[in-house]
Amino acid sequence: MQIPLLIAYFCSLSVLVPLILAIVQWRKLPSEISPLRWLLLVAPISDILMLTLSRVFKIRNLMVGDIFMFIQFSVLLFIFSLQFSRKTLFFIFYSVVVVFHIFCLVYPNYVPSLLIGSNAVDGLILIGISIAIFYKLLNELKVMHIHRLPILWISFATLFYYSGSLFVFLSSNYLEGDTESLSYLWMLPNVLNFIKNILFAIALWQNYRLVKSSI
Amino acid sequence: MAELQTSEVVNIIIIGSMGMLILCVGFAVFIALYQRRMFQEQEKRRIMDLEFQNKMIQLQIDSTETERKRIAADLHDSIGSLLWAAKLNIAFLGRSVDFSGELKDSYSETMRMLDQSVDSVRRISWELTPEAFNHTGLASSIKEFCTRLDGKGQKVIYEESGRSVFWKDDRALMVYRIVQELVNNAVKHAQANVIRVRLKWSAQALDVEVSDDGVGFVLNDKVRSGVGWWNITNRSNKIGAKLLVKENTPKGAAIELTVPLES
Repeated sequence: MQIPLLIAYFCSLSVLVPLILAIVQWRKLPSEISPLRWLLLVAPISDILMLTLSRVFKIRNLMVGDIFMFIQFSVLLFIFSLQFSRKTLFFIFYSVVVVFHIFCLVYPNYVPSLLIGSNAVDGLILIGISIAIFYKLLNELKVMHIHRLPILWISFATLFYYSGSLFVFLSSNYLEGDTESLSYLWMLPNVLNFIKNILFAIALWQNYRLVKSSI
Repeated sequence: MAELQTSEVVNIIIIGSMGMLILCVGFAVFIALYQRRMFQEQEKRRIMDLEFQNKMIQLQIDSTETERKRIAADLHDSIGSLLWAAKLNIAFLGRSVDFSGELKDSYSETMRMLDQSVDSVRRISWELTPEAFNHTGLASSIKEFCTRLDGKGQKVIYEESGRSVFWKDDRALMVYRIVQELVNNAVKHAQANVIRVRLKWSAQALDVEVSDDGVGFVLNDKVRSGVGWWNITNRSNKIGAKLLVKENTPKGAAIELTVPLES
């Protein structure tokens, strides 16, 4: 088996760590982070589906990946929207992304391939919101120990994952034609996915500790 | 072409790694910044709480002093004057009418009771706010206080050393109140036979030591939260004095108060 493929499998399996933590505290998750459990549940399903499509049926599985990315964007945007009082702004963001994705589906030739493939619009919006959350946390000073706040880890996971993804897609466009370099570059989203899952796991673990200490 | 591609790939990897590293460092800096701000905020809140607490203590002490002065003045001017007038009238009656037998006894008893009442009013009034304080200052007031208590169930010894300072402001009054409280505690709770009040003046500070041969005291939470100890500690905090329990045994106790002479 090739190393990139092995890394991809290993990184995909990492979702089990936060998933187990989410299952353990399924009903105890506070409303502000509870949508995360659905994302973690969908992630392995999407991976299995993608693997089945490519290995068993030998057909393109990009569509499943795109749908998962959209679900991930929706869930994260919803989680972040709960942190702010201005819900309208999030509705506008969501509408822009939905319209953009529909436009990409209907008129793929009118949109640069880079923007379609990288989910650049989704990424930029989430990066912006993550930074806004960091700013908000710093201004409000709500808790004594910030590292115990699950939303901090979710924000950092989002910022890290989407910044890395954006960088990978931009670089892949730059390295177009160099198949070998590209194959190694494409390992990076898996690594980013692994880090994201670990950060989600930390968020859920912090929540578990919080619930346990409050009992 | 192939060489160029390799260097480009290396560059991209370096840039990417740097970017991710910067993100991680940024995250760590964020947490550090947050904690720092949090501590600053807490410190600010703590200082504000302390200031508020001090203000409340000052207000309470001020209002207590004002109330004491008012009650003392009322006692002295109103009841004291009335009793004095009553005494004069009865004395006049005694001179005008020739009492004999039971009437004379009753007259003498009334005069004695009036004398006692006048003395009591004067004593209570003095204890509330010593008249001498404004005229003779802290040292004389403490001396007077000790003299008044001396021989009434216990021996109270007053000692003074160093170059005495005429001191009669609010801080001096607080020192007087602390001494009053300490001596009263020794009388009431420590069952002391001998109480010694020492004043030691120096250029920078005044050391006041109140010692006794009583049974000592237990400084538990109940005592700490009690009005007496609360008054002593708050007043000493207010004037920036240092309170030290030098000795506390079943054979006696000694408490030292060091008051800086400049606030």
